[in-house]
This record gives sequence, structure tokens and C-alpha cells, in this order.
Amino acid sequence: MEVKQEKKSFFRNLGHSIANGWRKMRNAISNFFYKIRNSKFMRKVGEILSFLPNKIAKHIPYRKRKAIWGVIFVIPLAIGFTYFFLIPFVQMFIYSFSFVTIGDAGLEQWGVGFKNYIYIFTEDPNFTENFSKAVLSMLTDIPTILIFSLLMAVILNSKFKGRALVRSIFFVPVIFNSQAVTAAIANTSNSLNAAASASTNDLFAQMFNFSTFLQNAGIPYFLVSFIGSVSTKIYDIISYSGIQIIIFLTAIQGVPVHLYEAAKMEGATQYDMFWKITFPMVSPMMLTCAVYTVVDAFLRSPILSSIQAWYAKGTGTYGSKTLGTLSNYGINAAMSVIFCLMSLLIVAIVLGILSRLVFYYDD
Amino acid sequence: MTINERPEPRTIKEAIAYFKEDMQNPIRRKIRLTGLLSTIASIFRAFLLLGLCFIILMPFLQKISYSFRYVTDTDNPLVIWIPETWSVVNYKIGLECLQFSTSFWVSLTLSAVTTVLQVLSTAIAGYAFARLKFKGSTIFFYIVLFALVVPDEALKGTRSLFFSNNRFFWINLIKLSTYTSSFVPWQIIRNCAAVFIMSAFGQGLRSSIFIYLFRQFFRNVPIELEESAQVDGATVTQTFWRVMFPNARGTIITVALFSFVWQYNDSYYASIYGINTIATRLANISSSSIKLVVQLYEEFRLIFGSELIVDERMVGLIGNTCALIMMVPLLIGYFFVQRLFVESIERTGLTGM
Repeated sequence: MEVKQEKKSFFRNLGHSIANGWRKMRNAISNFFYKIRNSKFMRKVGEILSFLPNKIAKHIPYRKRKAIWGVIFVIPLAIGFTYFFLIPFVQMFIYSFSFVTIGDAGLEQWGVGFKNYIYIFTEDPNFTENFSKAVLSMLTDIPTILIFSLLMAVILNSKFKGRALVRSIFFVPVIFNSQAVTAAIANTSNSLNAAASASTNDLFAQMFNFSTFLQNAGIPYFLVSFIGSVSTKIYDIISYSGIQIIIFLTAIQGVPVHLYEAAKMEGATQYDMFWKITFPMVSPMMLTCAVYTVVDAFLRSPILSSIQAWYAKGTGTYGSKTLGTLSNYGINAAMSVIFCLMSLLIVAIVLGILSRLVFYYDD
Repeated sequence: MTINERPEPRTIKEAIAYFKEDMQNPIRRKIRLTGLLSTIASIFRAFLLLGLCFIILMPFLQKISYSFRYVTDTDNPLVIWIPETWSVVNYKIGLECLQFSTSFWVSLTLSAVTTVLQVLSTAIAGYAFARLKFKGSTIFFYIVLFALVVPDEALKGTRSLFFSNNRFFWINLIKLSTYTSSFVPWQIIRNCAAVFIMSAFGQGLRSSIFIYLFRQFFRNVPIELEESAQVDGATVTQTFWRVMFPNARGTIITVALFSFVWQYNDSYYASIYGINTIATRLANISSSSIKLVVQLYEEFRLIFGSELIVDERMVGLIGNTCALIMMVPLLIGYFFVQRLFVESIERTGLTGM
């Protein structure tokens, strides 16, 4: 026993000495800078430099000075926003109405009106199909992800043994939810999956074959197929709902405890407390989660692959003409415009529906 | 009517007797029922959590199991988890395909520096939006949030056209970051400089979410804290740097972790500027590129015979292993910061939109 204690204290001492050394070093550094700052020379420099700003600032009230600082703080963001987002965004609209190509003399573009859009909806083989698929999958995804993440947040918030372990496992998909990994696996391992499903996945397919059972039990077909699609996509749902779980978890922990105490005194059960306290208190976060889910779902949708495909290919037929080697980036831009408008529309619809459920609590 | 008068039951007979006695009394019956319900609920919860944890961990374990297999084991019905012939060839080829020895350092510097820049730029913007209000600041904030709805991927084509034909101040971002194969530290920094510039100007990967998080946090900090600093004679910058920023520790950790992880996993920004990170290499991996690597090396040629036919199954195995190789550094990092992460999530002051 004694030996063990000695060992422990040795490590503790080591830790303490490291911490002390670090502290001393930090103190020495800050002292050094403090001395420099307070030396006579630096003070003079400071006085000279701050002479004019001080003179100006004396005539401005603190509140106004705050606003000026606000503008100064936001300026980098404003520059970045205009250059990296706004100009390309506006440019995208312009490109979508024109024929854009890279010729010998650099970028060439001329207006063609709505031809790009007409081409996309009438002649492009994949776009409309991918588009409708994306919208349909979103209709099922949003409610399932929202409900699932709320349920998981409530469960993860309750106290049980091994909670820390379960929580850390649940955030693993958040970390590994990478586009690159999915792309790599999609590119390479079709044959592998086929081989694997021949040997291993049979077992799971048999284990999880609820659908025939449910149909025999007399549940209507569309419900069974919905449940089937959800249960086969369960891994995807878990990995897409990581951030939503986090948001709900923080929101639940932000609910004042005295509400639950009062409810308990009145004899409410856990079920009542969920529907009457937790759900309304968490409901404002539903909006954030829903918006995030829509955006995230659009990022994964097959439309992007068709945009990317066009971008990579660059050539094709255009109207009755064959382009040959000329590539029209305008079509790419038009696809992106449709994509953005659609995601905006869906976000607006979701916000419109959900904002009726939302309850704002004023403490 | 106290419940705890009688001693604990020692035998089953006693317990049954107690149960019968309880059934006579309506209040005790109710207590029994709620106890039963709660145990059933906890059993149900345990099953659910076990199942979900299994679903989360299974693909990962499966990948590990695949990565150690030899080609012949892929369609062997006897092999489910433990391979019959162990091999590390997959790892060797995978590391070669990803050019791991250089691309890992590029990824690491890229993610680490962007994390710092992003935390600083978004914290400053979030503080300005929360507390330093000027005319039109809220409208500008909502416009910035709107940028979240427009996916970056949709802007990709226009952006790369625009950046290659225009300058940001005096810098042509695409030319700045042209990839050179020489592995020198300042080359890596120059390679990633375009992304650094973007994140320093608050337009890094999903910066608007971080701005939103910071604004939400700073709005909830009590105003008295700021006022007392003001009374003590602090300027606005001092108030931000000395009082508000250190207080936002939980949010900073969350933002830093997400920013690091997303940047590490991202192949979009990196591919615009042609940065050679692990993620871009992984996203561009295909059967033909794997075959190329395999054909280059004598060592692997011996394995696949003189005819140099690389099996599609082999390609699948290597793709799987490459994905695993990319995950492993993050997993090791996550193992260390996991507790910090979970705690910081609890501390992040989030409220409604």
C-alpha cells in the first residue's frame, strides 16, 4: 500500500512541478512585457500615438463609441462576406442567364436569356429526377431526424450507469460524418459490399426483416414501407442527427429546475413533464434544428452530384447545337440557382409550419 | 401510512407476501405500479442505447476487420469478423495512395491554423453582433445567416471561375496556393494561405454557424459584467479581450473542435485551391488511381502475380482502409478531448433562435 501511495505522490509531485514551472514561465513572460510596456520610452510612444484618438474620443459618448467599435469589429467580416460570398452569389445569377466559356482570350460570356433553365428541365437526363428525389427524401428525413434527436437528447439527459461512455459514443458519428469518406467508399467498394453482403449481411437481413411480419399483422402497406425505410436508414439518421442532439441536449439543460420541482409537487409524471415542460421549453430550438437539417440534407442530396458532374464534364449538347469542346458554365450556375431557391423555399415552409409550435418562455 | 415501516424482504416467500399485502392497499398499489413502470422504462432504454451504440460502432469495427484481411478473405463465407490470413498490405498501399507522410502534415497545419483564425474572427463578429450594435447590424447578421442556407457546393463553379479571374486586394488566391510537390514548411503554409485568408475574414467553413453560436452566448452574458469593466476604465477592445472572450470558454471549445473536425474532413474548400490534404486525396481516390499505385511497386506486384490484374475486391479493401487511415488520427484526438467535448456541450449557453 505504502509503495503505491509513494508512486501516486511521485506522479502528483511531477504534475505539480510541471504546473509550477509553467506558471513561473508565464509570469516571467508577462512581467517582461509589462516592464516593456511601462518603460518611459513606450509610454511616450503611447502618448503620441493615442493623442489624436483620445482627442476625438473625448467628444463622443461611450454608447456611440461602442457602435463605432462595432463597425470596426464587423469590417473584416463584411469584406470577406462581400468578396467570398456576395460577389460570387450575384455572379452566379448573371452566369445562369448567359453562355459562359473559357476561350483563348480568357473568360467569354454572352446573354442567352432563359435557355439554360429550359435546357435543364427539358433535356438534362438526370437533373429533374435527382431533384424530385432530393425533395421527397427530405420530406421523410426532417421529421424523423427531429423526433429522433429530441428523443435521444431526453434519454441521454437522464441519469444512468455508463452515461459518459454512451454520450462519447454518440458523438462519434458527428466527427466521422465526412463527405470524403463516403465518396471514397462509394467510388471503390461496390464490389466489396456485394461480396460482404453475400457472406455477412444475410444474418442481419434476416434478423431485421420486420416488414413481412408487420404486413401480416394487418398494418397498411405505406406505413410498413415508411418504417422499413427508416429502419434501414437508421445509421444515416444517427450520423446526421449528431448536432441536433447536441443542440437539444444543451436546450434541455437550460430549462430552469424549479419548473420540474413545481410539477413534481403537483404530482405530474415523467410523461406529463415531458409534454408540458420539456417540449415547450425546447421548441424554439426546433427551428434551428429544422433549418440545420434542411441545409445538411441538401448538402448530401444527389442534385449536387449532378451539378458536380456537369461541372466536371463541361461539354455536351445545347439546344439543337452540339458544343464540342466548348463548355458552358452557365448551366452549372443555373442548376446552382435552382438549388438555392429550392432550399430557401423549403426552409421558409418548414419555418412557417414549425413557428406555430414554438413557445417562448420569459423568465 | 408510512411505507418503510417493515423490514426488507429476505426470502421470496416474504416478498410475495408483501406483494399480496400491497395489492390490498390502493396507495401502495400505485407505488408498486410506478416502480414497475420505471424499471420497465430503464430496461427499454438500456436495450435502445445498446442497440444504437452497436449500430454506430459496427461499421467502424467492420472497417477495421476488413483492413486486416487478405484479398481472398473478402468473399470467404467462413470469415465474418476475424480474418483467416492476416496482412498489412492494405495499409501499405493505402498510405501510399493517400501520400500520408506529406498530406497528413498539410491537413494538420491547415486545420490547426484555421481553427485559431476561425475562433478569433467569429468571436469578434459574434460579440459585435451581440453587444456593439450599430444601425443595420441585425439586418447584416441575418444576411450572414442566410449564407448558411446557400450551400457552398452550389457556389463552387462560380467561385473557382471568379477567384481565378479576380484578385482579393492584390492577391490572386488560386495562383497563391498552386500545389508544389516539395515538402517544405513554408510551402505548406503558402499552399493553405487562401483558406487561411478566408477564415480570417470570417468566411471559412460554416463560419455563420459559429458566429451564431458566439452571438447567442454573448447575448446571455450579464450586462453588469461589461458595465463594471467600463466603470473600471476599460476600453471596448479591453472589455472584449479581458472579460468577455475568456468567459466564453465553453463556446470556444465547441467552436474550435467543430472547426478542426470539419476542416479536417472537408474536401471542398481544399479542392478549390488544390490543397493536398488527406480528405481531398481520399475524395479523389478511385479504382484506377489505386491500380496505378499498385503497379508502381515491385513489392505489390509480387503479391498480385505477374499479370498485374488488380482485383475489384482489392480496390474495395484499399478504399476501405484509406477511409480508416483518415479516421484514425481524429479518433486518437477524440479519445483525449472527448471529456472536454461533452462537458463543453453542456456549458454552451444556447437558447432560442
